Amino acid sequence: MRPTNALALQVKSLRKVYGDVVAVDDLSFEVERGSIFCMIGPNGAGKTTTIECIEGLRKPDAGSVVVAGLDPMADRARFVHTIGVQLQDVGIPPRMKVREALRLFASLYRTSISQSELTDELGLDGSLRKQYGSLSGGQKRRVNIALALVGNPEIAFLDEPTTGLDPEYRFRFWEYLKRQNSRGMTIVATTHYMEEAREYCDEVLLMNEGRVAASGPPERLIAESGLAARVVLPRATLGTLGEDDLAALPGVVHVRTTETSFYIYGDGNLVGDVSDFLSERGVSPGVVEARPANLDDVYFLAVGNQDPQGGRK
Amino acid sequence: MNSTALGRLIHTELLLVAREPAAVFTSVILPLAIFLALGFSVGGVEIPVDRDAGVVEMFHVRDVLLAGNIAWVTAIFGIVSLPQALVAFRQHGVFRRYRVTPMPSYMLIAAPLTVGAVVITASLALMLVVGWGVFDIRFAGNAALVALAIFVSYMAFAALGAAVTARIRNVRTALGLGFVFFAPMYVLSGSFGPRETFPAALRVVGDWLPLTHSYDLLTFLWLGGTWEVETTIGTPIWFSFVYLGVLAAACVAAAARLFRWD
Repeated sequence: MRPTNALALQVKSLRKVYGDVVAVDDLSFEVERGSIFCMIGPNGAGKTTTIECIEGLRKPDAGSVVVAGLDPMADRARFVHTIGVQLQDVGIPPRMKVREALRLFASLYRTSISQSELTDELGLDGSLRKQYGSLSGGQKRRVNIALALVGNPEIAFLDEPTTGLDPEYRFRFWEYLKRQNSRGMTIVATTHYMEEAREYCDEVLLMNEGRVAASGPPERLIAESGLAARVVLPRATLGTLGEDDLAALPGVVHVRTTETSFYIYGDGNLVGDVSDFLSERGVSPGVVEARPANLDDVYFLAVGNQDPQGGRK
Repeated sequence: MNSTALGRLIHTELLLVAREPAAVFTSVILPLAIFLALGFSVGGVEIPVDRDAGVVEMFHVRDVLLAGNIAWVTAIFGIVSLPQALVAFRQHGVFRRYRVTPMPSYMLIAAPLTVGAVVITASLALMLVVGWGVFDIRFAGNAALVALAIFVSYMAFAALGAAVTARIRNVRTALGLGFVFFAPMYVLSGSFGPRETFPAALRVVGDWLPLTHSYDLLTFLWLGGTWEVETTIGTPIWFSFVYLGVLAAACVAAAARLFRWD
């Protein structure tokens, strides 16, 4: 257990139930001050519910949340000065212009980041005179990010900040966030992009069905998963060979079968083992895709074959 | 939060209202149009007015039109436009978004209330300019008392609108509900036509509607009536003032209890 003052966020045994659906179940984790922390998981894993319980927008049914030493409900007045929030859904009047929103939000905080810096870094210079309702999805997302950061918060909570952003703005966003982080801002974000989590986050929390499926620094998660490589074989060229044959190979950790392919996850000898096995059976698989294991693979192993679009809130 | 936050919010919400043509039309353009239409058609008709326990004086219809119009402007802004704006904030997640900022809760209601006061004042000013310039209307009351009566009337309707829509998440529902409350009040209060011509049952219903009290309070004070003068309801002016004040207090309490952020 780390000393409390080193923590930006401490969540203990959090539980939230909607009717008969358990959205978050006995969830515990900690976030160090000055770190970038990402929550990943399929839709319905409980990420948004968790982050909204932390922000004080939802009341947990059980458990506790401490943000920078403050209770989000009991210490509300100090708490809201500590945090910056980007909600997943919209929260700006459609007829409000971007410039007006930025000025309004900046006026609410004791300190603020320069609005020209924010609009420049997030590519909003051309949108300042536009009404929020007339913006594209990506522009709205960038406005909401700017509003979350304009108060120069100690801790920023960003719920899927890069969803809907094109690759250039995703890159610019994360690079800007890294700079803010280097100035001391703690970042807590949810994302569906594994490559972002691996590249930019100090720690990730992989959630599934409201619980922690795995947590830790991305590279350590990959190392601890026992995965070193992934091989994809087209099913049509393998004849009678099936999932069980491939799963029985030494070093194979998991085989995921889709309509067209076998996705084989395994250790450092996986490529050689699969190649030898196919040669022995006289099978020529045609196009074979092989690559080192990454966070996507850890994710798939942790959440199983669950439909990534399905699930609960 | 710096000291300009409330001013910034009021300024921003004023701009939002100015970009909402329906709110400007119902609260500023429509009352002016009705004022002009009635002023030109029946404005010259003379009416006897009891100003102080039997002291009857002759006025013209045009002299009371403005006060009557302001009564229903406070009602339509309080019951229709203000709740519409608040429910839109709830529907679009604006309240939720503000809740995770240092914005104090009181600002959420103080800003739109102030915006409403500005709109009503603008409507009043426009009708005054036209009234004096075109119809040479006569004002026989005490300006401070009339301003106080307009304020109490506005508070009563705003609180009523906020309480009724405290949990509504859909703007169309709020709009429909607003007119369900406003339309019968408009017809039965005397704003639409003389209450003396209504069947007895409708007059009794009208006696208990807040717009009737607002209409009588404003028109009698505008014409210089004292607190004891009997209104069309059959009660003294002070009763209508108290009635609206109590309604405002009760609805504020109900709205505070029922209010939902989302």
